Amino acid sequence: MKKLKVMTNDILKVENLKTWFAIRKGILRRTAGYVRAVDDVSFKIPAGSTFGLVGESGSGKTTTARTIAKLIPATSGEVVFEGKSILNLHQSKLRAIRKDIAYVFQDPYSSLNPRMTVGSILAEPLRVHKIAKGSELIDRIAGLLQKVGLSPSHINRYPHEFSGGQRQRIGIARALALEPKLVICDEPVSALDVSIQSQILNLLKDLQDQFNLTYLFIAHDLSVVEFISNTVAVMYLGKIVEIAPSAMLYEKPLHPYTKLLLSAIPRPIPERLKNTGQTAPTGKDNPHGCPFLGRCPVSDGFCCKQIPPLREVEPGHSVACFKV
Amino acid sequence: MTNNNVILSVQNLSTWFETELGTAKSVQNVSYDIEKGKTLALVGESGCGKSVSALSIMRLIPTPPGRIVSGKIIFNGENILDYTEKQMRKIRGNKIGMIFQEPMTSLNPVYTIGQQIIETITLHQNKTEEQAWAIAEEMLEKVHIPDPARRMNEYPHLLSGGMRQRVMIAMAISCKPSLLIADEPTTALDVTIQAQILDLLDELGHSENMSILLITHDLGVVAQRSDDVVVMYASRIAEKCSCKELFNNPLHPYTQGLLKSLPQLGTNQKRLNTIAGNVPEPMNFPTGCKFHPRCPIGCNDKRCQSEEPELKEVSKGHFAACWYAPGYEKVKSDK
Repeated sequence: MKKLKVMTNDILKVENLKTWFAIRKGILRRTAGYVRAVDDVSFKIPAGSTFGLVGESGSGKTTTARTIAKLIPATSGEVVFEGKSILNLHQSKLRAIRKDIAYVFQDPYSSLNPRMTVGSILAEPLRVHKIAKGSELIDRIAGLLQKVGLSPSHINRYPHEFSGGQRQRIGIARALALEPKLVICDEPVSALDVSIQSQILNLLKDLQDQFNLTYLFIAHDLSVVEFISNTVAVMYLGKIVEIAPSAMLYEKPLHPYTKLLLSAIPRPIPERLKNTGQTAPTGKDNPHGCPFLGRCPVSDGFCCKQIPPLREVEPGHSVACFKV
Repeated sequence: MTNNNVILSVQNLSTWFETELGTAKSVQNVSYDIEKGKTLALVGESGCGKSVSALSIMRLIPTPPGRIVSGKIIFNGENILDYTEKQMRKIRGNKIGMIFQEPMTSLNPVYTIGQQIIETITLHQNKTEEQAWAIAEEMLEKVHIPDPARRMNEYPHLLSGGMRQRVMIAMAISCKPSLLIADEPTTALDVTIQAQILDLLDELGHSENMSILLITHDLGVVAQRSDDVVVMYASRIAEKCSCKELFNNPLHPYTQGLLKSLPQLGTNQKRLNTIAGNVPEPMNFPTGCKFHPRCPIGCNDKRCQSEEPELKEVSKGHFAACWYAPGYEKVKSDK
């Protein structure tokens, strides 16, 4: 009974999701192998919470998000949004779902069409979904601009007239136009200056409280993820290696990769470092063993024989490592 | 002020750009010294003039529209602003090395790694191509690139971002410069790779007694990797002091705001402190103190709105440009 209740609260459930890209070679473009960008990823996001996804570039964070938003086809697995599987949904039914899942992109400079005014950028989703027109449309756009801390008088301006932080606010307003339930934020603050970054993070938090939004928040900056997330998953080479409530992950990281990431963050404490002893990925691929093997300080012979499964070591805290 | 230990002294440097909309004063009256073997960090947000000041040192400002309006750049006791282009070419890449921000775009895609590194060596040192090739290989080994002999014959696209940045560093240090300018050397990289690259720069700084001008916007990097810090805001220096002093006793409200707005690990914050408003653009700088519209003290202060504070030494070795910095009023203007 208890389990059932938990399940109904999860707005998004991802099960064994795989997104592989074929590597084609030769004249006939035969498939020579696969890039396993997302490889057997599972997680749940409770409604109204923030799920953080961290990892280095190439770890599959963005591909996971794009697959969930159905911008990239999945190879296998299941994505359940509000109890409905959405991966094999027919085009006509997909539209209704698209209204509920919004996307905030990383680069506020390239994700807004430079030829459209702010008004028309924000009006587009409302028009496409036939939600408002005429004076009602104008009112809604003005309301959206106010929500994200811009002035309704900005409606006829073009993106180039705004600074990076203001553009990201427009991007957020566009994502909120259809009153979505889930907002996927793909590195929304990494292109912004430090003083602007904190403004946008606070705005995202305020909007979440106000509209009971659920966020899937992707970033490579761990301190940002800790600030905004309830639960954090750490990805490495397409797999989730550790997943835990945010405070727990930072207090007690278990996977050697999480420890490595945390130790690599430059902290604003004036202390001259000598050598952090970071190692690069060795590039030795081991399809049968742990993906982190080449960089792991604690691995042994057993680690190269089997891929460690993600297992729960304490309530809510799972880790994929034999040595924990 | 003549200190033999100072390798580079930038004095009252101003660099302006003429544009259709008027003059953009990108760097105004900026002065700092870098000592031998030390690392000076130049911090600030985008558009504050960090990179323009570095390019001015290398005399790489496109002229027109850009122009070094005034100031001196004393390198090894000589003002390099008086140098001819021919003399300057002997300094660039030889005495002063530079690492550019984007490793993805600053390497030439149609030449191999080896060809690109030996270009600098054969140009500045009296070496044959074969000798240069050997030096280049040694440099790649120094920056910890595995299998340097093979990498020499490879093209940049085969390397990852971190590897390319290492190649850039190898190129910059191949002539053993006494000063290395690193313009956001790790901004495009992951934290783990960033740590490796910064370790490498530190190591080279120590072993070759090389001074580093580290340009960055990441205060974490500044805290851990620099000896002295210059904080720039809207083309001027807001604060200048030792790294320890900056983090323990920030005097300028801008520095204070920046430090407070960082999310801190393991503190479970509910909200972040912010600096209101946006970074002003060089074309429309506010009057008076350029930070006053965003400043918690200066936004309603008449003097901050109309008069610009100059940079003064408020305590030993600690410079600030704020009317309200403790001790600021007592300091007499030098000139």
